[in-house]
Amino acid sequence: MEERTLRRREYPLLRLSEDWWAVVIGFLLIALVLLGVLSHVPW
Amino acid sequence: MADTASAIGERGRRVYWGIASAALLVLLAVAANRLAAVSPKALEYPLWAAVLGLVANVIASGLKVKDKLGAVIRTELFLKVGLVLLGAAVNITEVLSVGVRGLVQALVLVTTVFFFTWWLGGVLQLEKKLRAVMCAAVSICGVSAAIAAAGSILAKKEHLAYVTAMVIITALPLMVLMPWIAAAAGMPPQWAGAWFGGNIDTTAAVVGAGAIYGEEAVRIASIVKMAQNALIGVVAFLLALYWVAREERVGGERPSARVLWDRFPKFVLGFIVVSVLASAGAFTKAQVKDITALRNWAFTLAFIGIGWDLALGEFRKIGLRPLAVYLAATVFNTVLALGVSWVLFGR
Repeated sequence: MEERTLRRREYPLLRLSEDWWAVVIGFLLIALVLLGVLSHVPW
Repeated sequence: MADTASAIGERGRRVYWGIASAALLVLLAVAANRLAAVSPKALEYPLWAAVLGLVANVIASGLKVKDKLGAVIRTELFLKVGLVLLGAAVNITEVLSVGVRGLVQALVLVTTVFFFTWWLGGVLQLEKKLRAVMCAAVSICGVSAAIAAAGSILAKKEHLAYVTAMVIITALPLMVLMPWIAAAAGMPPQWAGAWFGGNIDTTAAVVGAGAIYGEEAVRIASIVKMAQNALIGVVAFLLALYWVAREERVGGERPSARVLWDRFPKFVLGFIVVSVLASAGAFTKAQVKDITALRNWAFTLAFIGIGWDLALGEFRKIGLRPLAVYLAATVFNTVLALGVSWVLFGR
């Protein structure tokens, strides 16, 4: 039966779980904003 | 030689479908953003994103390309990235700078409404995970709280979609009704704003209701809502702990600290770290605005994924009992918020 819940996954790169990848990506995006690389992001 | 050619061909096909999948995702995200911009304030982007994802789901399934075209759709990853970024919008210092009343109201309302909804959901025998997502949504602040709760306890995607739809659909009439009732009752702006902020389940609808009623109401409504939003991290953290320690217990044994750590959703820690940074003044207003925009894009992608993965049969299984619980909890929240906001802001 297909699993319908939100899942925990691992990604092969660096053997990090999806949770940690989310933290890494989130922090990276924030760093790019703080450095001015990402600014005036349209929304 | 034939094997090498086949491997290259297979890789080429994966790259092709990956690019097509990414292009589809970007197209749907931009479309959801445009639709949200032109529609009534309370019909927010998660609803549009989920609808567009569902439409793409149906078309791709019909054309039998759904598996290939879904190559880069990573619903959970997008949700969690969005949740980490959400921390930037939670600034405890800003909430406290206007006095402690907003925080007191938030604590009273969130705790009471959460446990009332949990109890009522139990009486009507709702699935526990659906109950938890709904409790977070109705007691705190709607969609973001539902996402945080769903991520913390690994709820079903249909639970999140169902609760999100209820949040957005009930926010629209409340946005119109509450200012009308407040005006008819001659409520002063501070009391009215505190009532709106403590009750309406989406931030946009709160600001909308406040704007209908006046500047002072907008100010108070926004602060009260921010105070409630500040509790997202706390609730997500506690829910995650409770779920790992009690609901996911195996064989009745108490899980060890190692097991608790392994199962604990780490993105909640990311959210808390970013929130602490925001509270310490690490971000300028412009930077918070950019981070908020990135967060909205992340959630847009996530809700497209939810629509993409939706199984309508699961909604039929969920039925209408959750809707009854949600509506009853909203009425309870409305009446309680009226009383609490009168005590703290109306006298």
